[in-house]
Amino acid sequence: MFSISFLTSLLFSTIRLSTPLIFSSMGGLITRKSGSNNIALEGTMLISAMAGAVFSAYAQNLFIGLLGAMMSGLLISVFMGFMSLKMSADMTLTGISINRLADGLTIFIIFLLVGDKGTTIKLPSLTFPTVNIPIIQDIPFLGSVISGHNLLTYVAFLVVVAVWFLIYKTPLGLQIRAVGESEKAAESVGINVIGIKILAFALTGAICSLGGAYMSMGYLSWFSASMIAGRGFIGMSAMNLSNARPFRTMFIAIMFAFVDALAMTLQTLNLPAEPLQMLPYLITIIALIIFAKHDMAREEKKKKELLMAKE
Amino acid sequence: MSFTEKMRKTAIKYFEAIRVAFAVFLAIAIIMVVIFFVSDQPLDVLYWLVVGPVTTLRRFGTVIELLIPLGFCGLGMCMMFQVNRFNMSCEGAFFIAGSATAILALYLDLPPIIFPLVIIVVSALVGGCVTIVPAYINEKYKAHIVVSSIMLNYVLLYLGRFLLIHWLKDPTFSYNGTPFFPENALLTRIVPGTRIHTGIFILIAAVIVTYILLYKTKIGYNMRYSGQNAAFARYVGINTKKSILSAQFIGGMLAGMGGAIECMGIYQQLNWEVQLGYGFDGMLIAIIAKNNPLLVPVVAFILSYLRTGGDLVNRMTDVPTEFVTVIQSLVVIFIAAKSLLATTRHRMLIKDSMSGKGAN
Repeated sequence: MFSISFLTSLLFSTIRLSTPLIFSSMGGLITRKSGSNNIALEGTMLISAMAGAVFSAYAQNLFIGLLGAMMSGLLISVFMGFMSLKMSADMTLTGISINRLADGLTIFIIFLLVGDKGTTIKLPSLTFPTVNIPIIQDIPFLGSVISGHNLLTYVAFLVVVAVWFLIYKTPLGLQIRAVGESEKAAESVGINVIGIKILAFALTGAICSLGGAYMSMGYLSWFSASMIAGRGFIGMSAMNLSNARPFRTMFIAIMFAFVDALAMTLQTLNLPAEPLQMLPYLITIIALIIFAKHDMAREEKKKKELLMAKE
Repeated sequence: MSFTEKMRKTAIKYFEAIRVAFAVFLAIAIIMVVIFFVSDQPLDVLYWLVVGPVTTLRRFGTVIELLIPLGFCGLGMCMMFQVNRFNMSCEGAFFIAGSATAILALYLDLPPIIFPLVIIVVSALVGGCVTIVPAYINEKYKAHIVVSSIMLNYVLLYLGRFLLIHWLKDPTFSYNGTPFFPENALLTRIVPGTRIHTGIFILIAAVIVTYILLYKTKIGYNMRYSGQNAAFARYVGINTKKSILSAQFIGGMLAGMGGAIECMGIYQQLNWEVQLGYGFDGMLIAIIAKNNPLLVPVVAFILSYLRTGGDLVNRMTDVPTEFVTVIQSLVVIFIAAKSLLATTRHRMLIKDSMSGKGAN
């Protein structure tokens, strides 16, 4: 059972499944850095997954499909930012509603276009190509794990670097962090706080939408209703668990993806599917508890150290 | 006092209600404009949405049938919001209560009336135990309650499906469903020609009990203060953690009761394989009802009317029922937007105080 081929396919699907989690966690990271709590990652991904499949099918152009997905993800994210920041709607409430809105809106649109509430299999939508990396693909074990993934999977890992660079190495990133750390201080040095925050929502929307596009134009070659299945939330948890540090976030996302891959691979062994399908969500809850406990212990320690220093 | 002044005074007094009505109107207007563009029969859509549910007794019956689960989840979410916690696990509590109901109904045998009551009580406890999990880890470890409760909903979804598919299901059916429950485990249907069942009386009782609990007892007072101003509540000696947890436990119990009653009253078997979405509906109801249990049935009726109308639109025209979900989500966002109409209110207040008689 635990042969080399089993391990290869397990690790291959880990990387495959980490793609949407990395995109959603990187998207969430930017809004988190700007001091907002965006829980609409799930809905943003769902809408862009639908848009990607629909736009690419009607335009028969992969680039337009990607653009459609990114624009719709960006728009819905900015809408959330606008309603919560400009119109002072409760951000959690807005986020939950956007997720629900995405559920309804995607089904509404695909029914009008295809006449089916489940999937868009009937649409001739396009998918991103898979990429075989030269040289690496010929290395025995490593090649079959790392090479041969969807283009967007590699983009996901590049996005991690890009987000790290944006946040820590550019003036815009500095502004985003400044706003997130202290709005008043940022305002006093002339930063447009609301503007930066909404810009962060726009960036989040654009990055998350890549995750959505991957789901309908890579992972599967069609859109199906509620196909994100909590991946936005799991990605968001990965980001929160690492305290919004890009590379740690990526590793936690890969760990979650590993659990997901394990569950999927074990399903092929004739085990009952439901407990395995439950696993990624259960692990997320357990991880939330463990990390929160760890964080609390660390804060306690800090407090004690401070007290000691005072004495 | 002139007529316009009187109007203005009333408008200021009932401003919140006007704002809610405006939000609902705005959301419906947006969707209707969209429907006018995409549908070939927009007037039919309007007709079936507005008039459809009262065209036959059967259809109006559907409105009342749907009101029951919506009402229970609305009450459940009221409890969550009264203590200011976004615990979204009413969905999961409702769902898993269905599994509990099926197990009890199929493997237990008690005399009628007592049997459904026992099932409701046990399912309520199951629901409470479910919602307390995210509530507890939020209080104890400060884990994000929205994320953990939604993750929990997925866990419960697969748990319920596992129980259904690998244990409870009747293999002779072509779909995944348990055998139909025995006669003594069912809720009596009270209006011939519809599926309206005695669950409606339990809902009325639950509304009254929840209202009394929240507004007329010390426990409820503690809960509300723990939610509104935790620091103040702690200062006056309220055990806020206990109040917040027990409110969410009761919220889960209400959702669990709803699940059991829906299962025994409408389905009379268990065949739930996907999330039913009542958790989010409950959230909408609680927000519009301002977390007041007495308003829950009224709002639940409106939503249930809209839903039934939406289903008729789905059947009679080319527009899918999901547009109601879109309206619903937009309504929540617009109501939540505090700045919506804030300028108007501000202007009215200024005019009112300028008129020399002062604001009330």
